[in-house]
Amino acid sequence: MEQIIAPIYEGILKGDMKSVKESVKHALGEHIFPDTILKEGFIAAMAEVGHKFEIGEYYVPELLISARAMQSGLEILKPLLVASDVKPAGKIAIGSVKGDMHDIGKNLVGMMLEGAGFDILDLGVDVSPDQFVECVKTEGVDIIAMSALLTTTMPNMKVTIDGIKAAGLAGSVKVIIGGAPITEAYAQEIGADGYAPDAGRAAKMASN
Amino acid sequence: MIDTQKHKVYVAPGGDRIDVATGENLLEVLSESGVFLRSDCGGKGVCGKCLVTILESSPADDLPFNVTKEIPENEKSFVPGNQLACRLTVHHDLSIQIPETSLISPEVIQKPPLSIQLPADLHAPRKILGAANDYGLAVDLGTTTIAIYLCNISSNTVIASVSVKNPQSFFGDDVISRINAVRQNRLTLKRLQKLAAKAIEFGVASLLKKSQVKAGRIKKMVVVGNPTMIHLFVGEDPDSIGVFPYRPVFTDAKTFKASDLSLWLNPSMEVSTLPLISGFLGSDIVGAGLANETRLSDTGTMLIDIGTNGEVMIRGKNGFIATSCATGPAFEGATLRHGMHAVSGAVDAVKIDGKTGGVSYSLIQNDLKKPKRAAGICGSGVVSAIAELLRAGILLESGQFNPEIRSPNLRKGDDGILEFLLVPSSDAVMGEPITLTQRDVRSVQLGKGAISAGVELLCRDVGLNHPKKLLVAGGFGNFLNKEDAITIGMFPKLSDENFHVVGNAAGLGAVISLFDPGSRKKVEELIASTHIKDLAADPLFQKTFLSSLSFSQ
Repeated sequence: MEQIIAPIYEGILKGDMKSVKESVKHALGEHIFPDTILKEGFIAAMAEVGHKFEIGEYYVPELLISARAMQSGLEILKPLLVASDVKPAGKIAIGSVKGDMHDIGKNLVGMMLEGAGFDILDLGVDVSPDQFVECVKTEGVDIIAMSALLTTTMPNMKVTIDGIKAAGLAGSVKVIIGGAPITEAYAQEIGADGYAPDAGRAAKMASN
Repeated sequence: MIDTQKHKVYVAPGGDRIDVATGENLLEVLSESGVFLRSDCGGKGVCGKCLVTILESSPADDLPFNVTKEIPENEKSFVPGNQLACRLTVHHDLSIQIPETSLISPEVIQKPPLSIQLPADLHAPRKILGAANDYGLAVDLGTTTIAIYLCNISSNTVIASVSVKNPQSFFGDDVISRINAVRQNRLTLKRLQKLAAKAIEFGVASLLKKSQVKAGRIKKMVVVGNPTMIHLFVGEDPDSIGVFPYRPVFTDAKTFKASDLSLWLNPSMEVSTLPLISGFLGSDIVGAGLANETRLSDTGTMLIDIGTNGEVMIRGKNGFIATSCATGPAFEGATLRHGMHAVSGAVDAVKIDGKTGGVSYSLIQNDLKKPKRAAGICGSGVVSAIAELLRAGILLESGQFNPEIRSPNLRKGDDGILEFLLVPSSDAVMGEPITLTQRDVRSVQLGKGAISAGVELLCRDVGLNHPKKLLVAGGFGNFLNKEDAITIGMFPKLSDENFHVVGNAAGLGAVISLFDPGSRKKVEELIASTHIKDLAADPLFQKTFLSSLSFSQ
């Protein structure tokens, strides 16, 4: 079985979309469980991509092409996962905070979280605290992931967390934050549940 | 309880004595007394550049400093008694010595616009026989560097110029962190205003001394800068520039009496600022446009001013399109492990022998008498190093150090990640080797990716694949090697006759405005014919930016 999964893993690391798609189809033809392909192929490969990013071996473009290759395989796998009742690792709503129009970092984190087996709800950029709160109420998300690139917009993370608390939802959702100006100390100060310095570590943290 | 206890800080060798209240931060206290230390990280204790030596503290057995937990990587090599001024709160009388490498000194600018030709139509005004000469100052107030030109406005000549590091860096490297500093504490606005004024005076004083000109003869000053710098300089809160839709409080040209802006060299001098275009397009690009007015009349000509923020404008069929891109401070030497501003001691060019892998480099050296030792690497040095590493195959196009290649200088750093040794410790001022880290390479990739994405999208808007002619402005451009910049994919490949390094064009624009008040009309026309492009709002931006990150040409 390892031999059948290995090309998927390698294909994602190389960012080879075509080979990932073909290898996924081949693995399914060999009756490998979709759940196994997801865990040992996709999630394992994206964890390695995250690690390579963390140590500086991969950079944004490599992360992106790997994530795209993973997504192309996931498209084939998703209906089968649903059919076989495999539950995602959790549901995460992600967005850049109010006043912040930057989305590249946020998109990368979204892809890495997807690669870690989560169901992702992308709220886009300039997301108001109310939108985040509303989303917790109606979408049943387990984690809110907020991004801010500017020191001038990061205070809106606190406003959002305060809004979640005020709505009495603090116990039902976890909040993780990230972005260039964010630090661990800031995350603690505003009462976030976690901070990740990069996309790979965001995925690692959400999984724990 | 209000702690009114006072302490004295003696600064050797000059013997300055500064009165300090208990608990005050040493770096801040020194800046406010006009002693400017380097602090690329803005006083966060990260860059390790504001090193001071504690000669004596009283009582001697009690350490006077409260060093916080965040000890920077390079602090490991500090000898006892050496401390970072930004991490030090004063609780005792202190006697300190400031190593030369920690001190900001006004640096003589030897490059344009001193040597540049003024526009032909700018003739010297007719001099009234026997009348004394009047002087003026042109200032390019940059986020990182302040360039000051002393000019004779009776003969329309630039006499001398200096550059000073902007001490506002204490409140952050980029405009956003300074806006945020004001947001957190309104009193900071006044301090930032004063710091800019103090730094300008600091530079002007050295110009006057060197040129034997009396302060009273200075009649006017013209200041250009990015919108946040201009807001801070005139004491206006730049808050609205910090969040979408990034609107400035004002865009018009303003005039003040020097004393209203805490400038005391000649309190009655007239100080004016040139108009701004938008929240991120300031009077710096306006000044650069004015200085290159003739060249910019050709359709397809592009002007790039590279500072902490990159500003780009292109001449289309109907006027200009202009945009700003977040270059980051890497090209000004900040954020790099051993980065520094382009002053004496900075590595400004690197050569790697293709066969032996041996490294040689050149240094900026303004004082030939001083020993030739490297203190760090500046923006053009980094571009040069990366270009050479790419040519030698040590760095891959993806920006990753090639783990397969054997090079005597490629080694694993303390963090286990590959880094490249540029200057061995024996040839470095601080006795610490100067390296280029994987992280440094990544921050250059971000900066150059932002520029080349901006260039590509602006060209597209005027129906071109690449600019017909490129004018590169900014202090960084002065030392920049064109081939190196093209090799790393920062600029499109253009022939020599279509690629011009135009020096500090923003500063030259301020000089022209100083000489020719009539040029203000041209400035207004330039702004009226400029269309502002929001790069991030372009649907192609993300794709273009990401594909611009690699070092392929």
